[in-house]
Amino acid sequence: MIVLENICKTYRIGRERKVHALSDVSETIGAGEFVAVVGPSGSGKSTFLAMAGLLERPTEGIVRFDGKDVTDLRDTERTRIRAERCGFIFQFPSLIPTLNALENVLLPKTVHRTYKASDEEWGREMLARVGMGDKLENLPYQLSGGEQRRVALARALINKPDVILADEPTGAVDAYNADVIMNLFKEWNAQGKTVIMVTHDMKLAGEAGRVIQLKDGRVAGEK
Amino acid sequence: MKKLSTVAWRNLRRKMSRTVLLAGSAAITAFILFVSYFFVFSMERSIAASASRLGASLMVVPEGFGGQAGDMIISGTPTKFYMPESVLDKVRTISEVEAASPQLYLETVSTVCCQTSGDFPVVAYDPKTDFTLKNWTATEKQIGKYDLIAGAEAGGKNYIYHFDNEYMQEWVTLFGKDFMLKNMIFPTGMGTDKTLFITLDAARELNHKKNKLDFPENSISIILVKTKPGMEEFVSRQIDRMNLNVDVVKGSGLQETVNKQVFPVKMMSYMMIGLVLIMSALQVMTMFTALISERQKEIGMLRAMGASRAVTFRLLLMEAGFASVIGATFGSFAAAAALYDNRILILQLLQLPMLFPDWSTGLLIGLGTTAITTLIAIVAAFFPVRSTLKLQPYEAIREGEY
Repeated sequence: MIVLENICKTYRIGRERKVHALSDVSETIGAGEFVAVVGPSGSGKSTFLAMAGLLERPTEGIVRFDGKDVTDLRDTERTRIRAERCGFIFQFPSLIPTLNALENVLLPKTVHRTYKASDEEWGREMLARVGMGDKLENLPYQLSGGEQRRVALARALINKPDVILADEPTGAVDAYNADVIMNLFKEWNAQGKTVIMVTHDMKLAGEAGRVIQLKDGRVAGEK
Repeated sequence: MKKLSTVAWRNLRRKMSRTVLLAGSAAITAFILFVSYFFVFSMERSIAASASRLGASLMVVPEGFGGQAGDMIISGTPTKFYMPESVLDKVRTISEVEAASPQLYLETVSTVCCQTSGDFPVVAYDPKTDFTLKNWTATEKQIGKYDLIAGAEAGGKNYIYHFDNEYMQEWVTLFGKDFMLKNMIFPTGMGTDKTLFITLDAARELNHKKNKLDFPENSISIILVKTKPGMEEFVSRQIDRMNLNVDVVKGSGLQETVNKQVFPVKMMSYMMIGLVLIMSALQVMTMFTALISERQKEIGMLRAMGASRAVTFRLLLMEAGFASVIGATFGSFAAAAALYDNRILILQLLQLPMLFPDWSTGLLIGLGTTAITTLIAIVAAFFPVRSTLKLQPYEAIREGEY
């Protein structure tokens, strides 16, 4: 489903310094796979996820999505693929403070201009599935960190994406919330959807079907 | 939540202090724009008035009195000379004549007008064809047969205080007849300032009655002529060829002088307006640069979840637009209220024929200034937003973390 071919990503820091976030990374992630990406801080995990989720263009190499080369695709096309095929969970609190839980979940529909009345029902259902059915109207500041993360998860699933890309989804949440999130990933994966999860936690990574280990921007191993 | 505008509106409410600053800046810009437009508009009107009065393209007087025509305009001293009214009809037949209006110089009378006493020359004019006095008057009231217009030094300055109060009436007795003061003429620096103007119809009706008025029937003293641009010489020759026993005096030189004198002031005003607009744009740009860098992570996140560049643009520019519309509406309304409330004071201070906008014109100016202010805010916000949207979503998220 997603193929990364000889991907290099270099960031410029100031005029002189360059940081190689990814160097010659090649990976193929098939449809319906549950992949965990692990590695120490600065190993390039988040950049790997950004490449796979079309959030960033590589400095070198090719990214294929469903067999199609999307590396140099126009921004509108990449946006469309992200909106229709991908669901993202970020490692930082990513809810809009002025929108309640349900509105936050429906935000991808609003910004992609595909909102339909039936989406609201689906949004309620997703929130119920992450155990937030009774807090639809709550604003983010009225939710705990774990609850906010669960709302973000429901938001990632609102478009019924083929791929879920999660960056440290269980970071800074308690065991209960981590379980809810992991169970939903597994459930989604069981329906044939692809899950790519970046994590530090080797125990959580063990629940994935495959683990890609990164070190200094290179693939250091696979299990 | 179906609408993007709801998200924009909620974002504005999220940071109330920032929104108030943005709206406040728009309010000040709109206020200055509204007031400046009003003053420049009034100044233009004043210039047009000077041009019409001082530079009435041509003045036609009975033969032999050409030398005194300029004096009459400048000093206002009535000189008793007359010519038949038929001359006016003949002058009007010249197609290059845009307007021609007669005046009849009557007498100098000792009287009191609007708590001002003195010897005031009385001149009769035709309100229907007049194109000179109307530009210098305080209001655009309909003038009736026995209505009176006072020069600034002939009671007009006092009349300003209640010019728009229909319940306060001033009456002046002239030639045995009571005239109601209906309007005033702003200072022109000429004889007009000390002159009382009555209608030609009233003067003719009072002629030969139990008073001092005594002038030939169907006569006039002077014809003020406005020609088509650049046709003064041609019209002057045409009148000469008609053998009407009149002198034609040209007056266009004065108009150029007035224009030259006022030009720097006009330019200064436009420059000031331009500077205000630039300042306001820079202010919005600074504010939005800070705002965007603060929200870079959020923007990256929105882009990640499927907001196209165009949609993100719209969302952020909508925020600038909403805040500006609110601020500019308030600013325009405040400017209109301040001008209206202080209209008498402004007239007193400036001594210019300012044109106070009526409700519909005020509304139009308000809408215009609101639109311009909002446009400036949107254009100013455009640049910082554009530079952020050049970034890839992940780049924006990463940069937003620092």
